[in-house]
Amino acid sequence: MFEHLDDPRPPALGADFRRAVVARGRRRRRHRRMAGAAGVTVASLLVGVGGVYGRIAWRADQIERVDVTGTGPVAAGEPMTVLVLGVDSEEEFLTVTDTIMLARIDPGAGTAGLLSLPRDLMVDAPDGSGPVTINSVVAGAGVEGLVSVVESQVGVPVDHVVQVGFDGFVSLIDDAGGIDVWVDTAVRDMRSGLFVDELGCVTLDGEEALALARSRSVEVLDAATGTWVRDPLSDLRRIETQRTAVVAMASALGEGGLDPMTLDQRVDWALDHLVVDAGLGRDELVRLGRAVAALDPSSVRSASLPVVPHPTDENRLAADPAAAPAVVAAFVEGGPLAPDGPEATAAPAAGPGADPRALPGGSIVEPC
Amino acid sequence: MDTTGDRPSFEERFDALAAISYKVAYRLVGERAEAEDLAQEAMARAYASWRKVAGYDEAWVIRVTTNLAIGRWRKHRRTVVSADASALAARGRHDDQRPGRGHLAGVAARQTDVAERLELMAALRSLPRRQREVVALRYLADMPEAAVVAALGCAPGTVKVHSHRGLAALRRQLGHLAPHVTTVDPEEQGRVRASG
Repeated sequence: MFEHLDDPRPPALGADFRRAVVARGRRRRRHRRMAGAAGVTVASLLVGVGGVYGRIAWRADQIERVDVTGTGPVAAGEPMTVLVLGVDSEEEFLTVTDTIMLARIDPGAGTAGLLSLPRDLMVDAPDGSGPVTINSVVAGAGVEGLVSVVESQVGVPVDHVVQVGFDGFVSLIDDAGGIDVWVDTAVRDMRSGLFVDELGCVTLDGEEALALARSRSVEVLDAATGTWVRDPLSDLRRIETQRTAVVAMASALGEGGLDPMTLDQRVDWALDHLVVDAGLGRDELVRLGRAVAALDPSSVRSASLPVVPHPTDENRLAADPAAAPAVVAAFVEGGPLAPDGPEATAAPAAGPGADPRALPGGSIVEPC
Repeated sequence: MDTTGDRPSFEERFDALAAISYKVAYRLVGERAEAEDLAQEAMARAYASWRKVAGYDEAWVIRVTTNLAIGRWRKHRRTVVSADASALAARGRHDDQRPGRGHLAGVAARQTDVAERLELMAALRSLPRRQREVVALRYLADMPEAAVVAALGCAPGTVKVHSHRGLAALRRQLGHLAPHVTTVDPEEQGRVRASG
């Protein structure tokens, strides 16, 4: 009766599919074992909070770790540069990185900066085979390759790599009761089912925030003509939106303070959704988590690497030789980055001959 | 039904279950990557609980797939699930570049498909659990009635009742939108009209 809704050409669910199923299934089993241990925790809580810390420490060791050459521990209190990868699944390090950001956290000063790298940014492949888009580097050269590419783009060593699955993003935002964003034009995404027609300050749940931050098929309502238009600046605006959402996620991480039970839940979450480099040991991970949770979201400086259309392929991007160095330097040194939002759109790129694609575009939504 | 005997292994059942999970998922979400992901998740859950699942694996996987699909949509409180089809189709006008179906009929069909999926999902969601299960097995996975009886391990009469009620509810909600739903069984349709 619903034959007409069938996939005319269903894909062969081959070996990759099967591997992914088994990997996910194993993770699920392992997690259930952990959940079983939760009963033990309740008992130990009756005895003393110390037991919880013991379990937290033990479980923090279980977070999935992958060796990444070139990364390594950072001394307590020192600023740390973390490559943050957002991916579609939660297995190993994935070959296609949907979202690439650098975070620089200075626990001493209590400050942080976030620099996103557009996925269509052209970079030199680490093996010298020529220019490739940055989001395909991991497929050819592994995470090490991406680390070295990012280091040469930004000129600052990457200390750690943290990969977050999108499910993790969703569940953390849901845990925090959603994120509040300002919407000034109706937004929809036919693929994910996102549809926001309330304007003003709107609370988005995790799925909605993800759709907005991630989808390339988000459309906005052009009020003048009453038609839905796919945003021509799509990827760049997506990135702005992502940073808004990541900052919201970071603040969600700190929600509820850092009492043992909350910390315990966060470790649970990390166990499910994070993959980190093997150099990020338990103590440092907890330190990083605390530093992030302690951040005041409004003080997180964030920017996108300024870009221009690539000289040989206008559908690709290259770092803007004029504007990028200053932004990168500010990111590294902790100086002010160009603020998000309409002001940023108006200010830097208004010069004559500036390509409209070079405009940051501004987030589709702003925090409110 | 004896399910305690030789239970097939996950490996043995993998291909059949993955295919049916994908089919159900695609009918609901209409998008390849998303359907594959839902099938993967349903299969991973089956893998993790295989000892529990084996014996009624097909019904289990179909149920989990359906619920996962509905669950992903339910989260969007502001989705247009209740909007009427023409409004939705108008909004969907921008979304018409399905490869190989560029002609007008294809465009129209595509818009109706999107609308119908949204409504189908909403309709399924509103059904009581048992009805939803039967409808999913019978009409989303296209299992013959006897197979549904076997899969659920309940009496044929029970399946008939749930199937009848579930379908009637679907018709009430989907009738205006999908003529084929109402033409499946003219006799039953008459009864629904008479009662409503």
